[in-house]
Amino acid sequence: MTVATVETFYAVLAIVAISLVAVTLFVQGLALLSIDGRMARDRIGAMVAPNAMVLAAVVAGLAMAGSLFFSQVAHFEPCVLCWYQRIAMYPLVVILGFAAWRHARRAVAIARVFAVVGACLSTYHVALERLPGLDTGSCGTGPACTVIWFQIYGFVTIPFLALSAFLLILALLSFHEPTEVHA
Amino acid sequence: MSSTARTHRRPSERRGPATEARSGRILIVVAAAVIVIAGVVALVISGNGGASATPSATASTLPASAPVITGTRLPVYAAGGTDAAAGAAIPTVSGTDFNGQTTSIAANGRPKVILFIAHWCSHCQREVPKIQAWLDASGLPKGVDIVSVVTAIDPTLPNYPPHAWLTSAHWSVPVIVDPTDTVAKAFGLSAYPFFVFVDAKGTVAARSSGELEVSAIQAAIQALGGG
Repeated sequence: MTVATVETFYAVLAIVAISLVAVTLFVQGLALLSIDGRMARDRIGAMVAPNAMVLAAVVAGLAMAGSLFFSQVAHFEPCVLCWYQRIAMYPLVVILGFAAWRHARRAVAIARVFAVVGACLSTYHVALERLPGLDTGSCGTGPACTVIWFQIYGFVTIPFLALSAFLLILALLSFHEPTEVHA
Repeated sequence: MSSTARTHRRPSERRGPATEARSGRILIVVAAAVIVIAGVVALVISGNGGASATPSATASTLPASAPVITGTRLPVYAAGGTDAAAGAAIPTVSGTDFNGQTTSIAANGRPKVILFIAHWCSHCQREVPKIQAWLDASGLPKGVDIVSVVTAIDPTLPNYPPHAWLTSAHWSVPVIVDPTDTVAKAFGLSAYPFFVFVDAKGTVAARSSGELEVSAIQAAIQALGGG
């Protein structure tokens, strides 16, 4: 298996992830607008909710495996922002795994915080790749955050992979606790 | 909450355990199928040429030996404040370009702009076409030499090899290849791109790290007495 194969594998997964995030946003948006939308959201939630934690843990695990592959096998040296995103992603494997195992609500809340922070970092990193002028205007002698190690289909880069993973985790967590109104 | 409010329960509470388990299994199977399909797609696509190019073997385009440097090394540049290298004599450099032609940096009575660039640095990738567009439009400034030093060369980093990058950018500025970063260290480089403005006496007039607009380069050249 070549590095290019792994890059393409993760690029395909990222596109699937972003598509699922778009569907989730659409469904959750509809649920805010109408009763029918809420029923549709609940139907999807009924299917996703029981396994949301497991799936989110798998997403985090795949993201962690990818980042380790790219740094340890492909030798893409991580920059500072990459490290910050790792700090947000790696604990999610444990937190979401624990949440899936013990159905721990508090763990879900903590996972949301990690995923939101990670998504913000990834968004900034993706923006930095597109607009290098956002930073100090120079590349340090260490690994630069503006370096694009690979780009597939013209837009899938390593920070984009991280962003899609963080967003998919948040999308899955949005189905974890469907609206609950007690009479 | 009023007693007439609608009651929404967890969807999983409205469904039997058997239905929930079945839909859960289906979802897991679908997720596994997506991962497998992504793997197959990746194998097929990368088998047909791959999605990203592997750096080509270009060792022959790099000089076999490092540039020869004589003179005192300049202190490492620190942005802000007074440059400790201001007024210091620059080291003399004799190296080669990608074609093996000798290129040198020496005090020869002419002011100089020395530009250090790295192929993987996105800011250098933005700076090079800006300078080339200016040179294409205005020609080389009179009375001033411009030399570029291609440094921090690493085949594992993006946009390698640098000669392919500079060829595609139609880079017309003379090049010294710095395969061991010795020229960069001799001039106190701290970040890329890196500029050293040298006066006619061969001493450092100013240094700067990071992208510069063409107008700033022109102003520095005028300060050196060129333009």
